[in-house]
This record gives sequence, C-alpha cells and structure tokens, in this order.
Amino acid sequence: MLELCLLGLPAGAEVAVTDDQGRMVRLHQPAGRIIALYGAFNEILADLGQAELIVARTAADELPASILCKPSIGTHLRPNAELILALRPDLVLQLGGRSEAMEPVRFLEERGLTVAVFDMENFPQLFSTMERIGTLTGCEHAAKEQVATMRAELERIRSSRTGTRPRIFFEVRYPNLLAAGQESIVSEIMSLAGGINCVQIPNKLVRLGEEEVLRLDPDIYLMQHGPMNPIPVPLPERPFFRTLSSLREGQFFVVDQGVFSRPGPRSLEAVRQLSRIVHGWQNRSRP
Amino acid sequence: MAAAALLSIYVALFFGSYPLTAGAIHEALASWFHGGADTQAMVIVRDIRLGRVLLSFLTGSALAVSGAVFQGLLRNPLADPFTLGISSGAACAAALALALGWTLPGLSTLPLVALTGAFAAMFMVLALSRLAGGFSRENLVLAGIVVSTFLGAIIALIKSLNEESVSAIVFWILGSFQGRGFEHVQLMLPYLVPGMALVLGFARELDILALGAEQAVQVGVAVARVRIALLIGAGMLTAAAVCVSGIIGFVGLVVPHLVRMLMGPESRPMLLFSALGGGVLLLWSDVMARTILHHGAELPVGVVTALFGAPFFCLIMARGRRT
Amino acid sequence: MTMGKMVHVEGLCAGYDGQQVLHDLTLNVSRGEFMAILGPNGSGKTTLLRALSGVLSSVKGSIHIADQDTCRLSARGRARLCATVAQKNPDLSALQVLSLVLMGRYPHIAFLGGYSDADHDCARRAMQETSSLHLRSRHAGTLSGGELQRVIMAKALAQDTELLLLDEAASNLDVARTVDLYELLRARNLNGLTILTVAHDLNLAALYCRRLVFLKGGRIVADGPTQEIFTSHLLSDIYETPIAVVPHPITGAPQAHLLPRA
Repeated sequence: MLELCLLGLPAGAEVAVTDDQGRMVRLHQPAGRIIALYGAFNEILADLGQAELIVARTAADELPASILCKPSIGTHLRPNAELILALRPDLVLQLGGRSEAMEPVRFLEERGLTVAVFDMENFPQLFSTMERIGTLTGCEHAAKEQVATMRAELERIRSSRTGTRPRIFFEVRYPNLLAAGQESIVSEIMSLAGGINCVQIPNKLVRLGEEEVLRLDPDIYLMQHGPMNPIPVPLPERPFFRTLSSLREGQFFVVDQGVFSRPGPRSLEAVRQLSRIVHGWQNRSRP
Repeated sequence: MAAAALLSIYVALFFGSYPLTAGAIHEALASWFHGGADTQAMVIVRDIRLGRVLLSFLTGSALAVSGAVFQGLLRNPLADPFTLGISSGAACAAALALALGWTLPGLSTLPLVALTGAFAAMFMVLALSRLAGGFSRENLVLAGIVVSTFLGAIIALIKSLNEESVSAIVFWILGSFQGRGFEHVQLMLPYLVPGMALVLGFARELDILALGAEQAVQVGVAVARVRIALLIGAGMLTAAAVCVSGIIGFVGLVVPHLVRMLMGPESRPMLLFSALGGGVLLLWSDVMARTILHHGAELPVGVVTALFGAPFFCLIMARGRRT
Repeated sequence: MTMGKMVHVEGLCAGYDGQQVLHDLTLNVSRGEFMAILGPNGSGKTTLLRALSGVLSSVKGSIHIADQDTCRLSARGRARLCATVAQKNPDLSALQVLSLVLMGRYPHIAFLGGYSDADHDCARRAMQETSSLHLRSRHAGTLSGGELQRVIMAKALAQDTELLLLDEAASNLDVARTVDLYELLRARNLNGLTILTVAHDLNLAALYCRRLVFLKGGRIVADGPTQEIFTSHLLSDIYETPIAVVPHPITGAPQAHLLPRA
C-alpha cells in the first residue's frame, strides 16, 4: 500500500478537497504533519500507511499503537489549542456534526492553521472522508483502493444475508438505559448485517424506560462495553428483563464500544461481527 | 390528601408505553396475593410500574419534608437540600464513582456511594459551621455554600478529566427514576424511616425555634441538640432521596412553601402534608417524564420538575407579594 | 444558701467573647419580691437577665434559682423554674397567636407528647389575664407592637413558673398599656410570683417595685428598698446628671425629675 502512495502525486503538488462544511481545503503539498482531533482519523491514516504523519493524539486515542508515544493535545471534546499550535501541524482534522466541534476549528484557523472538517455518521460519509484524506495526504489512489475493498466486503456481507431479519436492540449504557436510535451508525451496521434496529426513534441516542424494552422485546440484545458502559450488567442479573425473549434464548452479546459506536474504519469490523451474530440467531435451535 | 396520594399511586399504574388493559393490570396486582407464573404484565405492573411509582412517591416525600425542615431550621425560605451542600456531596461522590469505575460486588454501588457522599458533605458543613462559632443560621448557610461550591468544582474537574463518563454524570445529576424499583425502595427505607421519625418527633421544637435560639432556650428547648437532631434527620431524608434518584430540584423548595401557604406554619401538619404533597408531585412528574415523549423515550424527571417548578415558584412569589 | 431564696447569685462573672460585662456580682432575691434592675446604658442589666435565664454560656460563679444550680439543669428544667420576656421579639409572621402562647407550655409536656386540655386552659387563662384572648386566631405578624407584647407576656405567664424575668417589657407600649402591664405584674406578684424586671423608666419602677438594684459598669452600686435608695443624691451620682426626687402627689412614691443643665 505504501508503494501505491509513492506512485501517487509528486511531492510539491498542490492538493485540495471540499470538506463537509462546504469549504475548500487547499495545501501547497500533501500534508506532512497531521493532528486529528478525533481518533478514527488516525485509524484511517494508519490504514493508508500514513501513520508516521501523525504528530500528536488526543488523550483517549490508542490506535494505531504507534501513536501512543506521540504527545497528547488534550481531550476530544476540549483540545488544547496552544499545544496544537506549538506542534505546527500543516493539517488538523476535526469531526463534524457537533456545533461545539467548530470552536477549536475557528480558533486554529484564525491562527493560520489549515483545518478540514469531515462528517462520519454513516458508511457513505466514512468512504468519502477516507478518499478526501487520501487526497490531502497525497495517496488518493491507495485511499480509493481501500474504499473499494471495504465496499466490496460490505456488498459481500449484504448479499449473503438471508432469512428473517432479527429485530436488534443496542444498549449504549445501563443503568439509566440509553439505546442507539435510527440516526446512529449502529442502525446502519444492523441493517447491513441483516437485522433491523427495533428502536424507531429518529435520534442518535435514546433514553428508554425498561417497560419499552419489554414492549419491543428484541430478538437480539447487544450491550456495548467501553467508556460509556464500563461494566455491562449481564441480562440475567437484571430483574426487569427476566421475561425478555432474547434472554430466554441466550441472544444477548457484549460488543466493543470502539468498534460499534465510533464511526470509522472499524465500523466494517462491527458489521462483520454483527453479521455473525445474526447468522447465529437465524440458525439457532428453536426450543 | 392521603386518599389523593393512594389514588395517585393507583392511577399512575395505568401509565406506560406497554399497552395493558385495566383487567390485565388488576390481574397482575391480584397475582401478588395468589401467586402465578411470571408474565410480562406482572413484571411491568408490579416490578416496573409499581416499584417506580412508590419510589418516586417516597422520594418526593423525603425531599419535601427535608426541604421544609431546612427552611424552618435555617429560617431561610430559600433553604432546601442544596443549600446545605448535601445534594452536591451525593453528586460529587457519584461522579467520582462513575469516573473511577468503582463497583462493590453484589450491591448497587452508586446509591451507596451517593449516600456516603451526602453524609460526608453534611458533616463537612456542620464541622465548618462549628469551626466558625456555632450552628447559627448564617454559619450554616455560609458553610453550605462554601462546601457545595467546592464540591461543584470537583464535579466539574471530574467531568473535564473524564469526558467519556460525562454523559453518565450529567444524567445522574439531572435525576431520574429510570430503571429503579423495589430494590431501591428497600435501599432508601433504612434512611427514610428513621429520618422521618426524627424530624416528626422534633416538629414541635422546630416550631419553637422560630422564636430564635435564645427565646427557644428560655422556653426549655435544648437548641443545639435539637438542631443537630433535625439536621441529621433531614440529612438522612435528603440522602435517601438523592441516593436512589440523583438530584431532583424544586420539590424540596416548592412543596413546603405551598403547604405553608395553605396550612399555616405549624410544623407537624405542615410536615405531614409536605410529605404527601411532595410524593404526589414527584409521582406525577415521573409519570410525565416517562410518557410525554413518544415510543417510550424518557426525560430525566429532574428536567420535568425544574421546567414546571420554576415558573410555578415565580407565581407563588408574585402572589405572596400581593397578599 | 437559705431556703426561701428565689434567686441566689454568687461571684457571677459573665460577658461575651472574652469581653467581661459583669464582675463578681452577688445578688439574693427572696420569694415574692417585685424587683427592678436599673442603671445607665451598658451597665450589664440585660446581660444579668440573660445569665439568669441560662442563655449565656461563658459564665463564672454560681446561679441558683429555687435552690437549684441552673448550670446543672437542662433547658427544660430551667424553663419550669423561670420564664423570660425578652426585649426584642422575633419576626413570627404567619404563626398563630394560640400556637405561640402554647409554646409556653413546652417545658411541661412529655417528649413527643401533645398539649393537653390543661395546657390549653392554662394558655387561655394567660391570654385572658393579658387581655389578648380575642387575638388567639390571628397571625402574629398582623399584630401591633403592643398586641404582640401582650401575647408574648401571655406565653411567659402560661409557662407557669415561680420566677418571671422581664427585659424592658413595657418599651413598646403606650401609657395605658404600660400601666395595664404593671398592674398585671403587681396582681401576679401578690399571688406569689417573684418578678425581676430590667427597666429604663425610673419612675415606673419606683411606682411599682418594692426593691431596686442599680448596676453600673457591671457591678451593683446600690441595692435596697425603693423608699430608702431612690434619692436625688444617688440617682445623680449613678446617671451622672442632676436629678431631683419628689414624692408622687397621690401615692407618695419617690419620683425622679431631670433638671436642665443651666
């Protein structure tokens, strides 16, 4: 993959893309020092073989492992603008979608840095972001190949789905139950993997009462494990859920928050994992 | 009023996102006495709805009574569980537990941690007040403000150091009965019952304290001891409420004022009616919190009480000025 | 210590926050006395009264009331022996008058107990005596200064003690009400109540009290029967201003008159 990049644009050529704020982001030459304010950008860079361009990370980012030795520039929600300026990046990447995300962007731009804002709330946006990052780092071709590979795998999984589509519930947090709604990337992951999100509310995150879970009575119950839900409580230990079908049939699973809830290259892995769970459900031995 | 409370508890069982007929609800209730299989309706009516309705009622009672006591004790109409830093203590401890991922085996960790925090904050306030020269109204309010501001800063610190836990902390601070039930009723009772008994037992002394400490001593009230007993009683009530529900504002402030306007200031009836009124208010606020949005989505009940409590409080203040 | 003494104070030093107001004060009051404590501002009158009623904590020396050491008594025990009418009344706004008067019965009720019929009777009698019975369902906040003072007086009488302490109890009252109050005190005194009152009005004290105690600088400077010590010489000396004393035209009690300093 690295060779593909080297075959790309010659150094010194100007690169430009339009970011998701509708602005033209122009660099005189492909970016050489990049700071991402959201972890998945680092994963994208690593997949493109460009991990060495990363000069810093936010406190919680751990992927790829090579960035652990890089300095931290604060947290994802509150990056430290001074630390960023001091590292003199030629490109800063920020995740769009939240209005607060634009505050550091404005601050950094006023001080002469180039910032690109990309949305990644679903697979089309993820692919488009990957391609544009490829352009900005001078390996457009590698990025396109990468995206094509991922699209192909998604297509393969999509076409292999058969039978009844299970109704899936995704628990973001419990206690104080929080579920993934229709606008969450988790919903798209479910539908690609051959299921449907049983929570019909058109939000990313939805607070639900236990009673509503009983009403929905999902076929598969997923609970994420990660900072939002540090200790997933096993379903059998929840008194209110004792009549759920997914509990009776053992169709409840713990999945990784980083893989499922954070849009990025790993979202494909989430589809892979969930598709296996869906197949398991479809082939379960019925009592 | 007691009848209204019972009726409220019964009627509230009919609200919820899972469609159930009146017959199914009655059957589920009856199954309590003659047993029966674990049906969906039973889980919903008995465990989820009834548990939650009772818990919100008891929490409302505890908050209203402790608010009434703090107002009487500090002779400050704006006093409530927040003034003495008790709620902040509970919130701070809960935030710490959420951020550090503490767990105790076999127990619901958060309520116990919150309870400890509530008491720690209260004793901090008492100690500070004592250091400043005694449990006078000014010292207590001042110490309360100092402690709650300090704890508020610690919460902010925890939040900014732990972005991943922010949503859980914020949710907890907004207060909710989501997913709570009988197990939490059991958890709060050991604090609710003695707290209520202590406060009602010293209701007459609370009245006399309105004369001021000096005159209260002159008619025979052991002022220092009574103040501490009432503080501990009201503190236990606050802690009981906060540890099962997080922080819920306005109930402790609005209900005692309203009851005092209707019933006069005499403590014993005022406390009893505050208990009933607070219970009914919070019960219906929670029904609203869990049914007002579509598809079973929930609001934190603290949002409901604050949303309705604040304008309502303005109304009371305006009326109070006219009369 | 002899029986029959209502108040026995010995070597009393008292004050606030390290500032001593009363110095080594000794005072005996027999049962049935009606005594006024007089003296210029800052002489320690109110401090003495507060020490007697048990609200001052930094007290040296001993105070006995009805032969009991008040330091060893609980607040409730003290309140059964002596009732106090303070100089200032708190803001009681919405409190009902009857509830307020009933508070005087607090030292007599059992822990957790309620007010009995006997307590209500006692409160009613006290309100009758102070002509405040008609106010019983009013809120304390709606009363005039004089009405409130009578209600507070009723509360003290309802306390049913042998000793009554008053601090400028007539300060809010007009002349007629002032006389009413002192007549009431005299009647109660004739029924055996021992009364100690702090007074500013020299003439009123001389008119009703049989014994006067003058304080100055935290010490007793004069103490004796009214007729003997209420003299022009002594008063001028204590108040550091010329004062003439003449007998009351009707009762013959000594009365003080200020002289312009020409």
